[in-house]
Amino acid sequence: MAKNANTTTTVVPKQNRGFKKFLKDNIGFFFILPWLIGFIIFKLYPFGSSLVYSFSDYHLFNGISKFGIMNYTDIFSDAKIMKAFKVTFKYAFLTVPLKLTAALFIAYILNFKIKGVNFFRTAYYIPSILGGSIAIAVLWKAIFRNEGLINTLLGYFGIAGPNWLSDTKWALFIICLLRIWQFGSAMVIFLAALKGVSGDLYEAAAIDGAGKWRQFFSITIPLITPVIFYNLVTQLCQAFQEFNGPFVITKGGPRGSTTLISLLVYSNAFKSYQMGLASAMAWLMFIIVMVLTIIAFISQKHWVYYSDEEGR
Amino acid sequence: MSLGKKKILSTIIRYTVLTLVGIIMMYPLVWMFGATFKENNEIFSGIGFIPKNPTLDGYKNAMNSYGGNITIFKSMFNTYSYVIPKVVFTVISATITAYGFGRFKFKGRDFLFALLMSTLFLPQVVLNVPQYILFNKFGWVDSSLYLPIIVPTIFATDTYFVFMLIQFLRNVPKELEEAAKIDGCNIVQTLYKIIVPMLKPAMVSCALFQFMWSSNDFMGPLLYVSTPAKYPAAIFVKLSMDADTGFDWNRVLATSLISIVPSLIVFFLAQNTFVEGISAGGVKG
Repeated sequence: MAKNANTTTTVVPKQNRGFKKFLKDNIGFFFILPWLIGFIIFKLYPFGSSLVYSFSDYHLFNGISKFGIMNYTDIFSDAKIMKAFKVTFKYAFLTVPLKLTAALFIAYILNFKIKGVNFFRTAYYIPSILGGSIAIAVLWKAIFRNEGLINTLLGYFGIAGPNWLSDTKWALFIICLLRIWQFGSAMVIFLAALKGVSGDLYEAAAIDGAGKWRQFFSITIPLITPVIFYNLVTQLCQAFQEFNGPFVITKGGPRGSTTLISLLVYSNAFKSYQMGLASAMAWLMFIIVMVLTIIAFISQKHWVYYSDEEGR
Repeated sequence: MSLGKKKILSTIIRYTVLTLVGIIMMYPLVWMFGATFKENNEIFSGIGFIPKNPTLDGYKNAMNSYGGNITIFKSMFNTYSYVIPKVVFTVISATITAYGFGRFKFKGRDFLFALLMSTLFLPQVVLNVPQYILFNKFGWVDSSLYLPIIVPTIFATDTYFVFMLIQFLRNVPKELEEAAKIDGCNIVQTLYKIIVPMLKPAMVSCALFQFMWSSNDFMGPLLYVSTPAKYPAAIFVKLSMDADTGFDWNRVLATSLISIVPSLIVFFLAQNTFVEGISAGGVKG
């Protein structure tokens, strides 16, 4: 009886039924709707509006009085900003290769039948999980300050270490080192990939007389290139946005040697309220990251090996 | 025999390398722990970590306030008063979004999925300024409820987690859902009776990563919190270091260490989930 009543209420006019079918076929859309709304409000709109701001003299309190390309011409004629771009490149191209090399090397060793592999893996992973915190940046300052831990250690060997964080030759490298020290998460990803490389391949290579190093470069590396690629792209994206390290440890100094572009975006936007100029810098930065990502994706077919369309 | 010797040698080399690297990774943290119990003039007098005259001065001074109505514990309370809502909202919204993308076909699905993936590569640096302007217009900047930090997570804006859950969902067989459908479950019931229990490990790892990343987040509060009484730990630690004239390192390090104790506890309770979570997210299927 109840069922009957139900069916009678669902008898609806024809075009309404078509609408119902449309709803039924696209019901999944309602599950992603919150994401779509958030995407439009918190990502797409800001993204688009910042492009517009970048062509304006938007000041947080005075608003916009004119549009034009002045921000971009200012950037290219401002030695301080150009230097920040240079420093950012230096930072990224120093940090990412060293971090990934360390991660791959340690993952490779851990992949041998090592006793206590979990212990080592945890020990190497802790810096990655805590490293983004301000507490660790403070610790880094304690380690590399003039009378810090490293110079005390060097003193034992009669070496007078430089004043790392106030020396233009060293400061940037110390900031890089903080992130290289956090190679753990890249390492964990490499380790999972290495475990997927079949042992048969190594045995076959060993029978053919290939040594460990040969095996590493001819078998291991080619087979895990998809994961190298993944780590490369994510780490590059992160490196170009680095902020906390130089902001807390060196405040961009000495003499601008650790002033990354993100620091200038911050100071221009939130100290001098030049939203237009800051947006233009951020957009140039975005274009650089995008170009590098596209280069990485295009170059993929020359060096990234996919065993078949399904991956591993 | 010589082969055996070679094997032993390479094993020794491996463990030596691992141990040395292990020391580099862990010693700074161990030293930090020790230094919080040292007297200030002892901290940089040697590289050992065991305090000669253990003292609690560092911790006692860490409890002090530095201008403004804020202490380390209050700032930590502030931190977790937005971290916890963020974690809860992220897990719920990311699961719902992943369910929509992973289990349904609808008009424009592929295009929207491509949009979702592209936001993974969208640098936050380009969004900071316009988002600030937007939240300023909403009147959310320095709101007492941390609205600019929390509200976006209701809309699954941290797409990395959506991606992670979709990856995981791909490997979950669909048979159970079909059986549930035959048994008369509607799609919403299927979500919480079938999908959620099976996705639980992935959801836990989303929650843990979001917990860590949000606790560490510095840029968010730096932009959106300006009332000292509402400062989270990240800002408080930075300020307490800046306020220092260079002689009070046991206090500075104690403050820093206290601020990461919850993160450390969570990490040690769930270390395997972290390791598995990051491997699953990274190795694309």
